[in-house]
Amino acid sequence: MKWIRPAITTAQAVN
Amino acid sequence: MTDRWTPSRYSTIVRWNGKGGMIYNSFSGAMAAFEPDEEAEVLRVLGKEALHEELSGMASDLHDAGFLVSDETDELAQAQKLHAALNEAKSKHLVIMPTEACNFRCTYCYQSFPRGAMTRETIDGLKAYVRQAAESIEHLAVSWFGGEPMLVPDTIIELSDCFLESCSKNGISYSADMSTNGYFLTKERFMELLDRNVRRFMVTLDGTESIHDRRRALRGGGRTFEKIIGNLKALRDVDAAFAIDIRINFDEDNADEVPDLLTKLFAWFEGDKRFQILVRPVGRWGGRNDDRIPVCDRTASDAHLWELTGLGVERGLPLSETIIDSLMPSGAVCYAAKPNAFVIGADGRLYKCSVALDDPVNHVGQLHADGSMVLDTDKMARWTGSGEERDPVCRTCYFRPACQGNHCPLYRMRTGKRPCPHEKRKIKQVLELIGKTKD
Repeated sequence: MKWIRPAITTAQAVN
Repeated sequence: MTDRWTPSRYSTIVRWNGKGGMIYNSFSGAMAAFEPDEEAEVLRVLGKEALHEELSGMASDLHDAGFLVSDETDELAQAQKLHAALNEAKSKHLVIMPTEACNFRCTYCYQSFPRGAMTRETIDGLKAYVRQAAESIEHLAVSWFGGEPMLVPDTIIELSDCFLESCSKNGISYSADMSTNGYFLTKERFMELLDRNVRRFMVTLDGTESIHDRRRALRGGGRTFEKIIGNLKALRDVDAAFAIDIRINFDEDNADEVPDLLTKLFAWFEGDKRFQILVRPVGRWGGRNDDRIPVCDRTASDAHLWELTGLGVERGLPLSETIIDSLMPSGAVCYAAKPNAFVIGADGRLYKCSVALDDPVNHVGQLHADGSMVLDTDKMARWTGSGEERDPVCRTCYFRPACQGNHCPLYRMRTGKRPCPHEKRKIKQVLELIGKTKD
């Protein structure tokens, strides 16, 4: 599995 | 601790006929490519049946990345919280028009250029506003827009220096990007902008020289392609991190000519991943030439858009990171719909949308010289409250966390139709292109 983007949190997504 | 797991409703799986595939989750933003020998396990873990097991290996990784959730998780409530979080954002996004004048007269432009350079009162107002705002946020993002922003580089530098000082004083981060026609983007100017955190640029080329010059001529007539491409080529030996979206706007007039441009772009920028392609259909955006623009209909637009983007990627040009960003949670929400974003005109007028500049519903307020903003909250709500909260179809969509029904509030206002992003409508093709770009 090659990760292209990691999971992000809601706070990261918004800010 | 639960031991019942179910696949997230926000996941997409693309399989490439036995050659592996891609997975993507619009709530977590996670994205991965899997190999052919991993496919069976991906399909087992993310299949329709709930899992009853202690997670390990790939299943554990997929859970950590948001693809697998506890069967007690209320994913609709999670998406609603994400949407509500925009109201509590600790960031500001300012789309600034340091001038509303332009040295180009593109055939499909929607702007009417009623005003010139930013007034001293507005420059002072912006500085004061940012000084105050920087005390209570964690990040400031600025998009330099226009008109053609590089007609007034001194204003951009003056404002940037002030913004950087305010952000530094408060220990917050600052990022900036610029939409420019590229005509004045000399290496010297570019370096001044890089020094001021402008790291992403969008420059439009509409085809090879004669095609581009026919569509994007100087005000009063005159060619522009040679100057722009000369400027871009000069940036290849700049030793710094930046990204240039080479935007290609197409309609029936030039769609067939775009492949020639892609071939040339690869010859000029081969191997330099900082030069990326962003293909977009031209729309009737409200300009004086609208009736004469040979726009593609929606079906043709979708087909051309990804066919041309695919040609570029096949020829070795990177897909714009902007497209990948738009798949992230809240990544496809337009600034027009975000409570923490404003478009600021050269005279201090505040807008939500950067397209409908002459529409009274878009005149949401005024910035004054002391940095105060007077806002019409009813008009603001027309832009920020017309998405998923009013559209039950959006609330059940797999792409909801990314766009929240708010990819283009203007489109919804003008047509009454759902503004689904281009990427959402062709997500499997898009993921395939991302996979190829990231190989």
